[in-house]
Amino acid sequence: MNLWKPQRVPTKNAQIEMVGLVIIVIIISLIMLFVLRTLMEPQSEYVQQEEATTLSSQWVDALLRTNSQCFPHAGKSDPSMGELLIDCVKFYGIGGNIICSSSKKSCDHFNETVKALLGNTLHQWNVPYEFKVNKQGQQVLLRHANATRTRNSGGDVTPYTLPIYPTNQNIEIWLCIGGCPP
Amino acid sequence: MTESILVLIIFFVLLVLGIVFYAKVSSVTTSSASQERFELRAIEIANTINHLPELQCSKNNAIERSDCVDLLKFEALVDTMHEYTPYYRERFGVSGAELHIVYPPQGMPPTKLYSFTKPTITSTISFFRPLTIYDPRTDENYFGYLQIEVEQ
Repeated sequence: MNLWKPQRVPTKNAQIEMVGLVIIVIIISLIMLFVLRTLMEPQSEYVQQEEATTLSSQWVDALLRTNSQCFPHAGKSDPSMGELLIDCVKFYGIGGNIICSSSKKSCDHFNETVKALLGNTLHQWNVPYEFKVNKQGQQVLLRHANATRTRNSGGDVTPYTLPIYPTNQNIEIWLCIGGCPP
Repeated sequence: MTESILVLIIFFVLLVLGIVFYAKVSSVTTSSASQERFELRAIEIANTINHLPELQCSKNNAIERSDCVDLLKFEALVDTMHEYTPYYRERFGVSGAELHIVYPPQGMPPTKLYSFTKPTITSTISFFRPLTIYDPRTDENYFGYLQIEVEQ
């Protein structure tokens, strides 16, 4: 039996090294935490959000008030684009009841004007959009888009509603910047 | 002795790296905060121009609707802004605005409302504000937009 067995006595140096190691680990953890917090901080995109919410509402609002330049009958006032859209949706089966001076019916005139306006504004500004019109809860009657993306790029996605008197139905007009949700 | 010196060297290297990193991060944070402030100021200017009482469509002195520009008031404001440039320059800073009529197509160039510039520009933000343009002479509503450029 070997009575003489060398015992490993912990020295003070080893303890100091361990404390040093713990301090280094704590410092590195703190640095990592700081880096992660800085990287994970969300970048605010005020301009993009502002553009998305303001553009769509103002665009549709301005469209519906604009004079359509349809001039259906001599001596009669020129309907607004909003009135033309209501006529188009009401009489969608026959392409609209109002016949413009160019012999186009309200649906065709509205469709062509909207297409031109979108092309001269949002498309020209390189803003991806999706414009669509439907009766509340029903299929889409009109759609124009240049958005290859189908994800909305910020802002509220709520349709502009237009009542169809004397019925209790509404027309929903969507202009989604970046694309409408499916 | 050698070990202690090595530990000190490593400690100071880590300390220097930490200080450099902190300085870099804080400079990035400061510049992004100043960019945010500029963007907020630009939005404020764009919204102010868009809703200027000097331009709003009105009937019997009552504002009829927002996001509508009266063409006659617009023409009058162009002259007023020339006359009272210091007042408007203080209000709108380094920026410019012009009105485009899109529908019905007029074939006319955009009308400049104002343009306040400075010699050195570091960045520009453009805003497009679609609106109804009302012409009281013909009682017609046109589709157009205000292009507002804010510079830093």
